[in-house]
Amino acid sequence: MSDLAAIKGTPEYPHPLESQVNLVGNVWRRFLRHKGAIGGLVVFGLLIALTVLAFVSPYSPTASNLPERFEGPSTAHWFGTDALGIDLLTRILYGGRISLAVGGIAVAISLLIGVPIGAIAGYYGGKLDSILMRITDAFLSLPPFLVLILLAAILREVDIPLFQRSSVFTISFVIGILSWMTFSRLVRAAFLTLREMDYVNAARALGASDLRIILGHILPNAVGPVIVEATLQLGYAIIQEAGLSFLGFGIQPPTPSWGNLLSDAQEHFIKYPWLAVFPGIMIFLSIISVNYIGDGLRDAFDPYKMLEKVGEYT
Amino acid sequence: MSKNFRTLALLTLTSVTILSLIGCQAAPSTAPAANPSDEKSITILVGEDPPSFNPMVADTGYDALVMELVLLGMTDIDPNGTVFPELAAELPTVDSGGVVLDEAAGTMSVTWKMRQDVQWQDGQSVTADDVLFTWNAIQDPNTGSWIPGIDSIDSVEKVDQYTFKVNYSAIYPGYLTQFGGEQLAIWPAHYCDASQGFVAWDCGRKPLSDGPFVLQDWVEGDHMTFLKNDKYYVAGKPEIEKVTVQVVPDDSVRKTMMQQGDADIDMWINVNTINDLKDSQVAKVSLSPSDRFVMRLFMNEAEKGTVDAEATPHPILSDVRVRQAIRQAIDVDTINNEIFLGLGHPQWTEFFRPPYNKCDVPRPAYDPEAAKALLEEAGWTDTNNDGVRECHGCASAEEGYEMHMEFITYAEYGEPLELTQQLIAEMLGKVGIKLDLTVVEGSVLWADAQSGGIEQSGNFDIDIWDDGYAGVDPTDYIWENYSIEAATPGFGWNLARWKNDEFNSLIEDSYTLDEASRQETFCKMAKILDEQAPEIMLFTVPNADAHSSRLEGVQSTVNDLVTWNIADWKIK
Repeated sequence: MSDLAAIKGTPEYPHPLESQVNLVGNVWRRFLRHKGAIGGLVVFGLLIALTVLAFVSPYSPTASNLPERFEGPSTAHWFGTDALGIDLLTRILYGGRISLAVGGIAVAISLLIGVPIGAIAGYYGGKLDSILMRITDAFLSLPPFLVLILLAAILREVDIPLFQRSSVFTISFVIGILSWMTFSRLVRAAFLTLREMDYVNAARALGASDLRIILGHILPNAVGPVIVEATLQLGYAIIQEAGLSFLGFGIQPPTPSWGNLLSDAQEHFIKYPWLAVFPGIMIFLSIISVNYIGDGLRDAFDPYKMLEKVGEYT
Repeated sequence: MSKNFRTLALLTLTSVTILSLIGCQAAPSTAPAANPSDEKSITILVGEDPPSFNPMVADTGYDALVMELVLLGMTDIDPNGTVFPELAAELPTVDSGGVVLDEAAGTMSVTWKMRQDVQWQDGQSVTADDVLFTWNAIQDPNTGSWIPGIDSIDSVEKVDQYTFKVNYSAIYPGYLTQFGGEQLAIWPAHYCDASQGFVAWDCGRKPLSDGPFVLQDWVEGDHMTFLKNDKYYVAGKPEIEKVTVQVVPDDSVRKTMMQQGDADIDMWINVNTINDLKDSQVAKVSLSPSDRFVMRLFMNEAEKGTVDAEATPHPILSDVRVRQAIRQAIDVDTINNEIFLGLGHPQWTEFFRPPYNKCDVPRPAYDPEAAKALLEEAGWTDTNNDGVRECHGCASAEEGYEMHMEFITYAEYGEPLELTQQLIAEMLGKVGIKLDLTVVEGSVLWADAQSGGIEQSGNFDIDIWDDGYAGVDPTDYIWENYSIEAATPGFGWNLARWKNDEFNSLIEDSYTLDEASRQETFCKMAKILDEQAPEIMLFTVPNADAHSSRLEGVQSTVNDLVTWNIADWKIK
């Protein structure tokens, strides 16, 4: 008791809460040093802002304007018009809402499945770990895009709440249900290490329940790599939505998404290249910006780099 | 991983940019058509492998395309709708004595005389035995197939080596193309194994030829090679010595190959390709001189998921006023002129093709305001001002039921149909009918009910596709699409499940060889269809095939595949 009292409050061993505040601060400071990550954050923020502000556009994203079919980029239509004469910029901005929402929801679904499975497998180990990891391996062995198409095709034939044909949630679910395995492996690996740490043993000795230890003590220390992976998965999910929509299994017209805008462009790519180029650039910018953010977060969460900073690791 | 990912992304953007620049500079090639292999060979592009040489099995169009190369029927139909003999020595008619009517019994018999100079590629003659063999295989209850008018045939008997007689239990006006036309060929009795069945026999994929070419090899998913049939009965034909049928799934690749002179035929091109090829020096477009396929709306008068419009009427579409309002709310001219480049022709009656295009059916006006009024009258109003009408006193739905339906089309037709679907949804949206759009594969849309076919199982509200009858006689088509019997899944394509006793008796009346009577009957039918609108006809779609400019004699036709006269083609 006296030892603990002596430790508590000394400069070398800050109070746990203070330590967490410093951790967040350190992560943020390191993140700010990553120029690519800052650039990515700005670009991604800008993309989100633009899609949120899509309603400012004077044009409808769905109402046809046939006299202006296939007009090239101009002052009236910055990105040109599509096969129905609809302003392409407006469709891209509204489509961004869908594509980014699909990405976000898909990652959330992956996290909701992958993190608990990884946490339980890593914390309890043994047969439960083996069973859960074999299930994970089974999912990993599936050819992802083929299964995506199959699932999307099946789900668009059903009509149940939340799973209406080709809705944002349905597409997100299809992508999320096949993307959680990386999270579970990542979390499991972290839990395998962290569960042996002294502070976990101490919590256990003090009578903390498994749930409390998992949620309150181990998970917060494993969250770094999960956040990094989440940003990367967001990019993959956007690409997968684009792929599904490109193949006709994703978001259905007239609702725009970056994927179905690209799909619609394929027949006219040679003659009206802007139809493919602008949605392609938006997908490219969102993916690469999210990727840089993920890179920055990975560096910021890297404990070795943090120690390197304070001179304790060389 | 993320660095690889970024590299991939950068490569993608670079590729997109380069391709865009190439696209900006691309112009139709003016080089002479490159010869695919040598001066006497041509290349035909197809989107997929034909399932077999027997179109009665799957009817994908590709099977009929290759059937025309190797197999003959008794007759065929030219682009103007004129029936001409192939294996037949002459066309049997009442005047020639080839058709004998028994007016009292309501029966007829047709005697066919065959050419005596047609041989299979192995040297054996094509005879009446082959016709009887084919007929027996078709009408086998276990392994056969359905052909138009099959139920009207009592028997087929051999008269002599080159003559046979078909005995009908009814008057069947479509007898001339029953053993030929676009889909049916005569198969060799000494070569095909009858025990394997008409739709499954091996000779369906390895045919013995009596046509202008013989199959040399077939590499599935890649190509088929055909060589000139030296035993073809027309002297000096075909002029072409080798035909390669090459599988190229992507239609934009097929178009590019045509533009670059790398192929000679691309069948069933859509309006975008027609437009893109119009200035090409190396590729030309052949348009059919007559129309057949009409883009049309199929509206399910039974509740979605059911097939009995009387027991379970559709809450919205079972009311004829709603169907009429939908027809009035669609601007056909705009769709045809903008999306189909004016190449189609507005149509509003089934009887628009000669010789039965003499009915006076006024064209329905495009009038969205009248459509709104009709919907109001039918009890569909928008009281909550959300832009979608609800039932308030309508005939078949509960109070408050929303006018919200699914609108399906098929993917294979490509962008013009999908844009049409979107425009119609927008037009109907303006009168308060909300449609969710779905695009499915044609094989899913048209599969039989047991296989989960959307239409046959009644699992749709409205869908749109192009349909029309082959040949020159609409009688069977009318029966298949509008008879009460054809409303039963698996028995026909009365997808609306529309049942009209008066119309049904008119269908029976139309099975006669009295042309004046038929014309009168068809006009009575046209009037009923106009009033009841079980289907909404919009416009004919152009039937076009692309061919290289070095190829002469190519003529697209709605009555057959582009290869219908391949024996007459010449290379410049």
